[in-house]
Amino acid sequence: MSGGINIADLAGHVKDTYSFHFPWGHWEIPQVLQTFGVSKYVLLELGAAAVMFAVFIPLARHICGGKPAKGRFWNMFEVFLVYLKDDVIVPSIGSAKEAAPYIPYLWTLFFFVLFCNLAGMLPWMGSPTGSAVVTGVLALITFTVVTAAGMKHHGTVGFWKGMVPHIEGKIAGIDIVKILGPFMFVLEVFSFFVKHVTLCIRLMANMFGGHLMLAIFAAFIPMSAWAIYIWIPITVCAILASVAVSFLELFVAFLQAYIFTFLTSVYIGMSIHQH
Amino acid sequence: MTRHLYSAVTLISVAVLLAVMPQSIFAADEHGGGQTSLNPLEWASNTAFWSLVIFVIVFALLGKFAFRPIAAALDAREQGIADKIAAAARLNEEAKDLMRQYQDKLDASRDEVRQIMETAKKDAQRVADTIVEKANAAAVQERERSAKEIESATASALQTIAERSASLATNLAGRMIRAEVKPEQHRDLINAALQDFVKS
Repeated sequence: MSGGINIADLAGHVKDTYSFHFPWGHWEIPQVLQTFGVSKYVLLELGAAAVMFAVFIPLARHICGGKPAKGRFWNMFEVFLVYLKDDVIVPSIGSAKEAAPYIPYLWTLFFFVLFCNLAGMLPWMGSPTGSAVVTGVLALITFTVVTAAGMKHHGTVGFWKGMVPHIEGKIAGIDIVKILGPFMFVLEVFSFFVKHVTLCIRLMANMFGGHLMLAIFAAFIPMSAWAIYIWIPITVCAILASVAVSFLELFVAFLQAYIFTFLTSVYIGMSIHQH
Repeated sequence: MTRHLYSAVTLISVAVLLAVMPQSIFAADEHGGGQTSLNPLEWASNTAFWSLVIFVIVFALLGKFAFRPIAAALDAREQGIADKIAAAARLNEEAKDLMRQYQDKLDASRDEVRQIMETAKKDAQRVADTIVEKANAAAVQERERSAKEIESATASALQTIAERSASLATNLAGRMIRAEVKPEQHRDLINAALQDFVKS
């Protein structure tokens, strides 16, 4: 690496560690917390959870009994909630009655992912959702909810049997379903699992990729420091590019939270209304 | 329904926790020490464990104290707005009905006023005609009565003249019989008789 910069060190801010890196030094997470496996991402997730508690419990008190939310701050969050409910969750699942039990989960999922994404926009912090571990856990919970929803509506056996689409027709006097059914069952179950794995990979890759790009732009500055005549233009370009990518990352933070929630709603809807 | 879903999520979460916990708790050194790699798929059981715990707790607490009350409040508000819209539509229909009824009454009143005016005109014309006819009849009667009175007065006057003339002639004849009358006396007698006639 030119200028003695190690790209693995630069990528450190997009990886889970046991310390926070500030310009004035490192802050190591206390040993007692490290003993219990509490890392930087775990603390950031706790921060996201704290923000959610600080926002939504007062909001619930503000609008209890159908009262309108007052003030731009509360209206902003209410708009998010109403939009997700009316334009994302209910249309994806089918009807308001069918969607009602899953609305709290999907609201929690959206804002947890969003605040974890936005944590990466704070200086010297990071996005827990840039880790496959965190997104994997979220995808696993979604898988659980989707499977539970399907089993609740169709029964345990009915849900797994419903994976095989209905096919009419016979080959040599034997129903096509009896011939192709087992293969299709395996294929559909595999597809069912893969869909949830893609939830994990998509979110992680977007957040990790965006922050890695920011780190690489920032790395151009020390890498070109060996010559002043090249350092100045590269520094200016790197800063401008970092600002532009930061705006993009801000958009991606909302977009990926939306996509994760939308696809979860769609999967729940598909498990309720099979083939 | 929601309770069953929560139970299912909780049960599966506990199963996952049991699966990852033995190697996650007290496994801080697994990727600690500031060593980093560029593999974003690197697994860290401790982060998975705490992520699962944090999310499940957030879901459980916010679901109970925030999101379910918020969903209920939004539903209540939606229902309230729908009720108000329905009530407004009903009131609007009632107002339209009332408006229609008032318009009908107004139209009926106009027709009634028109009929009253026409009837009044006809009555007034009839009364006027009656008055004129009565006046004409009265005038004719008055004229006839006046003519009769004139006729009666004329007849009476003529009768009086005749009676006077007869009386005068009788008187004159009596005088002429009782005395010899010269032409001058004769003329004076006639004049005197005429003057008496005029005076009477």
